[in-house]
Amino acid sequence: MSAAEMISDVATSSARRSRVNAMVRRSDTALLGLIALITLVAVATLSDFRTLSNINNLLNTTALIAIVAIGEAVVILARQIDLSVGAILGICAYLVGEWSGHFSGPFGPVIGVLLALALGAGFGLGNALLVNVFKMPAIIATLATLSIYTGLQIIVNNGSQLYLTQVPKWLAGLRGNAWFGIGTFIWIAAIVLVAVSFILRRTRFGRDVYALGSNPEAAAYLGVKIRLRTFQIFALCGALAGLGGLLYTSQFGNVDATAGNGMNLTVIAAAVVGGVSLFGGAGTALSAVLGALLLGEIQNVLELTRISIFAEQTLQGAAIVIAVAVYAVVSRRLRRPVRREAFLSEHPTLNPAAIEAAGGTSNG
Amino acid sequence: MARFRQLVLSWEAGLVVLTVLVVIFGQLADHDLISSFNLQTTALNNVILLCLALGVAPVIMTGDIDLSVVGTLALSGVVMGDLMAHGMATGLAIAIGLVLALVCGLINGLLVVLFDLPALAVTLGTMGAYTGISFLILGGLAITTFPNSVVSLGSSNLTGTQVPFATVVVLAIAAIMAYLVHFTTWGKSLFAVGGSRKAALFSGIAVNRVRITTFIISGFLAGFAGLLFLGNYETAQAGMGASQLLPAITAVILGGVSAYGGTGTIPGVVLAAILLALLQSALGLHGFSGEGQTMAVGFLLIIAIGAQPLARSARDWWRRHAGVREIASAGTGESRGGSESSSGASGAEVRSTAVN
Amino acid sequence: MKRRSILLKSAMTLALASTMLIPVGLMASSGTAGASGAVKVFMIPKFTGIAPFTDAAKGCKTEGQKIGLNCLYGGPTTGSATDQVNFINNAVSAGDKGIFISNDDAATTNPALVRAEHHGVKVVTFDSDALKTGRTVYVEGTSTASIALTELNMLGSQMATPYSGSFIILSAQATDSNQVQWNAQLKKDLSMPKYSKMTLAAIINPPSDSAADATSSLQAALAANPGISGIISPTTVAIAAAAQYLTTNNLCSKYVLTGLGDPDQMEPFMTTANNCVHSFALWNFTQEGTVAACAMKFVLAGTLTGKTGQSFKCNGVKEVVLPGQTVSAGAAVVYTSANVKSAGF
Repeated sequence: MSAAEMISDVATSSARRSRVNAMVRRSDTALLGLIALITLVAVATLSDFRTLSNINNLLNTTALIAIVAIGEAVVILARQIDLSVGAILGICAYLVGEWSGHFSGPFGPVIGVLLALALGAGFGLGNALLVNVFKMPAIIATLATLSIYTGLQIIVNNGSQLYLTQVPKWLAGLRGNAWFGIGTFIWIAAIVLVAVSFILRRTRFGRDVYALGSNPEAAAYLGVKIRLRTFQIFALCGALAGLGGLLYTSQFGNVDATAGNGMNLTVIAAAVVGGVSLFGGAGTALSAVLGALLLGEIQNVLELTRISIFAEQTLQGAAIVIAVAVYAVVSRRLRRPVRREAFLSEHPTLNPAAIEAAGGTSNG
Repeated sequence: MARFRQLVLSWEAGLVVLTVLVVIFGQLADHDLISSFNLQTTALNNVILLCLALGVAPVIMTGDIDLSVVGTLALSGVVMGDLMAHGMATGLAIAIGLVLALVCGLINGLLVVLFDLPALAVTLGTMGAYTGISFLILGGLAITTFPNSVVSLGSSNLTGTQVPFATVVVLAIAAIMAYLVHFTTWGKSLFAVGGSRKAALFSGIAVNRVRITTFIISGFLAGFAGLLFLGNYETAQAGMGASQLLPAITAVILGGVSAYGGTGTIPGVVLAAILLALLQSALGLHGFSGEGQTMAVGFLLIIAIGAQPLARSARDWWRRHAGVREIASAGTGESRGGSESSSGASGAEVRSTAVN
Repeated sequence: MKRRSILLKSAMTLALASTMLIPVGLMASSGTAGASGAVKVFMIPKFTGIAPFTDAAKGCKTEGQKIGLNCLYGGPTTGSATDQVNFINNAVSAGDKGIFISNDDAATTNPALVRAEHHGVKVVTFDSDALKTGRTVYVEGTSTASIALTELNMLGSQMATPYSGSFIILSAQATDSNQVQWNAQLKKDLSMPKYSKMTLAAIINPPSDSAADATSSLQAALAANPGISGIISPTTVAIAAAAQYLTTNNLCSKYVLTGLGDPDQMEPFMTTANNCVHSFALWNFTQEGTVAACAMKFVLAGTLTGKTGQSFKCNGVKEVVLPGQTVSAGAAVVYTSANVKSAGF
């Protein structure tokens, strides 16, 4: 394929992508609508739902999951996956909780957060190493690291656990605090959402992530530094998992070797339900948050209506399958009109011949 | 002679060497690895692993993946146990359980193939869904009484010997799978589809049917593994067998099946399962804790995948330097699917646009 | 051709499999370790990673060193009875002479324990019993009767109207034999006149012994049982999670929380700033491990067979076998803010 054809191909697929993104944006609205609907029905029919305590719990638990889901979403956007986030969360919950105990004073929180991000990123880099250097498919690489990190988690806990008494006061109180009436967890989730959305939309990194997800070969030709981006993507996911670990310590007080178990499915379900496509290239950070919110709400309603405390896994599993199917079917319907010829006839300047005539393609 | 050299250099031979090494070192370290009791219990405990791996292997060979096998195991095991506990005839309960497992696999196949959804996502979702349903059925309880026939299948020995019956059964299944995969047209189409789906389609292979059948087989064998689990542990519990997913996938990859599809052998998978079983046993005897063993399996998976391209380039180096005569006879020998190094790049290209 | 090579490989595989299966009995195990004569025994917890089991292991090890036992420790990472089976089998293979186990599910581990006993391995259960056929003696931390009564007393005395009101039990996995035993005893005790005004609304069994599951199960239970005023949680993991949950949601004044807890975990909830929990109980797990080791010694020697009334000396203390082949390792200690800090096992 000549470079000219490659460029017009990319343009076509990026037009496809913006159509898909338009759909995703529509799905964001649809999700918001669905969430609003469920909320209204629940508030009207379940007296337990509308208690302040319940809403507070719901939002705070969702905030924690949303943060980790945002990290997972970034990885999925690039057509990878990370199954080890739960274990990373668990190790960081223990280690950061313990180490922060040594840093009192006003800078304690700052150091704690930085520590969590750095440690999590480190584990994420381990994943990236396997994908980049060992050329393992991400699914198998993170399946392996899941077992390794879980084993590390147990070793680190060393037959005991982290006790609330070892956790610094600022961390212990984080969950219960509120700034301007809104819980700290929610604030943190909002900050992460804004930051990651900015990174995805406005930076080179973000554009590369989408490029890698939509069309890795084209991305390579266009000069995207794949290896570097892969390291960064997994590091970001790990860092957010680490931050989630910090919040976990605050939420549960005690951290033992089971921290974070099962979170992998929850987080991937949140991202996928929110519209982050496992084909890569479609979705936003907001998608992950909305997905987390929707699933969390359904989970809450199921609990309150006493359906079963065992319904969680079924819900998440079914949600993944349904969401993937629905989004795939819908997006395929949207992709169909944008055929290459039709697109090129609308955009004559993107015609390969035109590009070559303009003389702009040596082996760039 | 050249064939013999090829066998010796093959991935599978490497596995045999590793197994022998593990046995030697394990026996030296702990004196108990090869005792009849240990071999018996190891053989019994790992039939489930081998059964799962035999089901997953064809799926990975065609370039898909199936994470939901442990979910199918749990669900069909729980259903069988529940039915038996409620007094249903053993044979009927087993039949229902196995048919259910078939259906679970069929659902996977339909979703992945007909809806063209990524196998990773679908089977991750169905893993959660199937396991979750087993929880909905049984809650936190466990069923612990089973008919004698089931227990015999799962834990007793062949009459008059020390050889567990279940092991023989699973090895027989392995033989059947080896025949299907390596000696039938269907089997050949597995490798073709795994190598390049588009090319396979153009050669007239019913790609969709092939892929769906691999998922059905995977589901069925997972259900059978559930039955063996019931007999072996005499327990049906929601979420049972969950810890076997990683070892099963490791056994497949370690067995030489490429994670990208298109290559691998069933004997390789069996050898890898044996190696894994002995390695875990040796580690356990030597005092490695549960998490230590799991970590070892994780590392082994990484090494196995890392070693595959190394083995391939080593073999290519050997071929290049071993003279024309060798190359000629090596060329007609075992083919490693479509991924010889020269065609690697274009193969990957074709495959990815096909997935798109 | 390719078929030949597959056949050759299959033959190779079969050869290896047969070699493994037809046991090379000549190299059978030699078993016991050490010229010092320390007898190898193996302790299997419900799952590794929480202090009570680590403490029990410590107790076994220390006492074992005194009496000639080499106490090894290992177990599954989750409360899976089927994983425990693998550990039992490994211990037998490794030539260990005795097995201690705290069962995740008595029925599941029974076949493996019976098999172990057929191989001459002695089984002593601790903390969570097995079926009678699978063990010689059961060492309990403290008697089931006293646990149930202590829990009811702690709860009843703190209720708004003493010993009157409804409550739930936030327990552990549904199959844990000790939980099942204690809860059954408690239900029986409710018919006593002293507790006649207390009603048990529900027994909650979270899907696993983890803080996250305990918390969500508690949340659902509180919503499903609006009229209760008390929570008894006979498991260290769940009571800590419950205390944290009540604190975060300002529900400490609404519910009385008590049960069996780890003093280190409960200490933050018994301060002036946060006094969510007023009292809880536990016993000395190190002591439990010690007594189990002593019992094993006498079981291995053949002098302790589990008959009611038999006795043995452990560290100068006389232990007596109670009905049901049970030995009680000590008494439960009730912890309040006064003595929680000094608890150190």
